[in-house]
Amino acid sequence: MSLTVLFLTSCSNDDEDEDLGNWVDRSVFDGSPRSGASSFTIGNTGYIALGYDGDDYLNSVWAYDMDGDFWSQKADFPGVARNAAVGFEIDGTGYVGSGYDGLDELGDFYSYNPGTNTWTEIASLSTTTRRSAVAFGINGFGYFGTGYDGENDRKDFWKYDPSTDSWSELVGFGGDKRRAATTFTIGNSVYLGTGVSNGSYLDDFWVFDSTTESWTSKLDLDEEDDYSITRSNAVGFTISGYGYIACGEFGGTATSVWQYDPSDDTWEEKTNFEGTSRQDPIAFSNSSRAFVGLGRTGSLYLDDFDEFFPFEEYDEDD
Amino acid sequence: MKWFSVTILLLLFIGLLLYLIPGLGTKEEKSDFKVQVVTTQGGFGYRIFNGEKILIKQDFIPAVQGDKPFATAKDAQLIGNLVAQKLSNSESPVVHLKEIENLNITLPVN
Repeated sequence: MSLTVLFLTSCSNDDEDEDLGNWVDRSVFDGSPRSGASSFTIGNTGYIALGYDGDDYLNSVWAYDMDGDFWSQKADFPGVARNAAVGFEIDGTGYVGSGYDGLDELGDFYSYNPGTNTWTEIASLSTTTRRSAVAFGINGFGYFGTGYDGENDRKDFWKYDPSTDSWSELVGFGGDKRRAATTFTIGNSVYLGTGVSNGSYLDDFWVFDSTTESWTSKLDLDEEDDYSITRSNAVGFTISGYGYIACGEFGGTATSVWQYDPSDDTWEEKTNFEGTSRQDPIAFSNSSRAFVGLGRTGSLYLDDFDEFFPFEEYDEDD
Repeated sequence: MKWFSVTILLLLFIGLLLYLIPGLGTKEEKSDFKVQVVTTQGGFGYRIFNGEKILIKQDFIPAVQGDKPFATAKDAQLIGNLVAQKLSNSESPVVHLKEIENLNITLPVN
């Protein structure tokens, strides 16, 4: 019955109201579900590390070749297997750290050299260990902040300098404490929003200017009545100068996708993610192409993976 | 009573047909995984194909630190077969270090 209702609904808004954007199935492995994995992109290769499959915390690492649409298994992550870790890239090197191993929040970090396929432990966080934080690499530095430390949600930010292998605190983020927030990067700017704290979904939205290392508040994620962007455990990515927030959790798991236009600080809804609604998926983007997949819905762990074409008409058959 | 036995027979017959016609009602494309051993720089690797489509390209030994190719074609074939078998069973195709040890795969020292 609910299927029939869904079907009727999807037919009724078929005409001019159709959101733009198409999702195309990409190469996947049946039977490799994982949620809360970490990802980073180096050139046209997307890396997935760690995660949880419903039974085990994972330490395997896979590389996805965007041009060839195939996978390679890389060197295992050398730290303890975990999920809810962060992943980011600085100048062609991947970084993964923090997270949760089923017992404790973690603060150790590792770098990945794609040229030699080797992992090296780097300086651990000099602050409380945590999971479900955000991190991004830009302008030669790594930035890490927010998250949950096992007792409290956090709002502090830390900066990693690869040249000295050290962390230092970065003051100035004016947003509230939160976990499971999302970022995306457009040019020199990193946008941060969504996330949850004490059961409330945050609606503030921020931009970090990497050249001045300063945060500025943007319009709230519920600024317009028809916005439904607030959520947690979503993914953010960038395609051709636009930012995207997709999937996640808001009372239940979500499929909706919103596109951010930095030129006028506005959001537009796109075609929903084609697969099952999900939280804690992963996304790769190399600024011109983006891929979203994996994650979970309730206790069902997912293994599918799609490429998103934001300006194409939706076609359910690809 | 007679219509009852006729129905049973008919059902049995349909069942037999379904059994005899392979692939009917099953998703056939997923089970067709092929392993191809390739020569790479300094050793061997493998490719896993699902039908015609390349799924995994492994120039180096999975899970192991460093870009280390397999020392022999036989080693590459063994791990490739393991991965294809996992995919056929709809299991994760991840290769664990333990499996590499258990299959006595030679790890090049460098």
